[in-house]
Amino acid sequence: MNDVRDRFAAVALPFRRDIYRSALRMCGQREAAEDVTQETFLRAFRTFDGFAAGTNCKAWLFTIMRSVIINRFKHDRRRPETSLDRIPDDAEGLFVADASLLALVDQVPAPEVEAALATLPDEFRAAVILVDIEELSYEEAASALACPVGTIRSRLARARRQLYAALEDHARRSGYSVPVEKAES
Amino acid sequence: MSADRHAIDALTDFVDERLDANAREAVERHLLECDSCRREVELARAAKRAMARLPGVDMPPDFASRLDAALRAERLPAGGPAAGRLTTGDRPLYSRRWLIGLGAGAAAAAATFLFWRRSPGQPESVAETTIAYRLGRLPLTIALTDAEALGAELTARVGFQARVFDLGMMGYTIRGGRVHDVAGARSAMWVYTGAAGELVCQMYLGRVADLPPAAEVRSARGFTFHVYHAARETQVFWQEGSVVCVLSSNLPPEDVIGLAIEKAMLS
Repeated sequence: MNDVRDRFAAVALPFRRDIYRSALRMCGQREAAEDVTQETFLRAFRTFDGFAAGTNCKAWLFTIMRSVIINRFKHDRRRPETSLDRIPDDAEGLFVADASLLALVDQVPAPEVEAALATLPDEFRAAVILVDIEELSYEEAASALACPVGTIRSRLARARRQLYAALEDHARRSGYSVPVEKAES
Repeated sequence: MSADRHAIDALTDFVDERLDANAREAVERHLLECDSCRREVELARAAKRAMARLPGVDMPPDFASRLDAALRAERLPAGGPAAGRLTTGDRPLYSRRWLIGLGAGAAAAAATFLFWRRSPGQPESVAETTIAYRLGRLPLTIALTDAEALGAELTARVGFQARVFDLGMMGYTIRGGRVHDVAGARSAMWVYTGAAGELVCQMYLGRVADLPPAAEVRSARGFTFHVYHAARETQVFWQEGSVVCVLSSNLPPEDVIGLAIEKAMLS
């Protein structure tokens, strides 16, 4: 018994902060993130015997977390629908970015970046969180989200396009300027 | 390279450094002569950089403590994954709110509850079911609001007489009921709702003499009422023949005790 607890403490618990952070970004609310994190670790603890030693525990925890979130919101009608069907077809094509604004996007502050991330459809946001923030591989993210690797790739591409568009829009509206222009003025 | 799915896939793999050397060089050559693909790569990288700029998020210290406590309380049966405690499917019975309540409660109440958790038998499970209902995790599956009809249905399901009384004169109406197993015993549960809050009633075959020491014991009209406090819940146990009755509520403790006495008088 203590051996299991010790192994769990050594292998899984170090990822508490990662799971909470991602749950917060996926759920959008602190209370929900705490419940999801707690349930994820309780489930992980109960099924720890099923974790294959030597594999990525963080990815395993994200798989559990995703299941917890899906079950949590399965019957929650208050949760807004985020159908991928709402994404316009032309989002599949190449995004025509404003080259003059490309450098300005890097100036968008973190709160605005966080807000842009929050506007993504659930599945897009999940892909970005797992790959771009939590640094899971495509394969690990695909396993966590129960979808093919190609779907992860596609969601990432579309999500990044939407993120960039939101950040560019913010930069444009906020009147950011590139450092060189500032120096010349 | 045309702006089709294959192009986007290749560019995405390129951005995430998933291509082998040959494929990577091919993309790099293409990017030298294709503004739109180059821009696609640039915007994807800009989005990735933006994600990398996001600050870390620390767990609230109080939640970290609660999570540790929940894990310490989790039991693992020997030799396999744990399923040794009452669960309701996908959600924990001991939610954040419950643990907040436990943490914020009086030390005596917490001590009583912790004693429950260590003790075998019914009280722990009864407490869990009540709290699980409050958290919306134990639905009322018998949608009868007539006391007589609900009592008959519960009696048929549990195998002992479930006495459901109409508390309309006290301002409470019946919401419905359910039957479930509590530590291997069939238990009837039903809920009254009123302006001040809800009353959760449970009945199961057992003996109040087997309960752990109560925070308070009162005698009234020939009944002995064992009072427990856990989080914001007051639970009153009393014996009716071979059945243990429990009234749980987050109303003021004196109100709950008074209602339990009134209900016992009806039996």
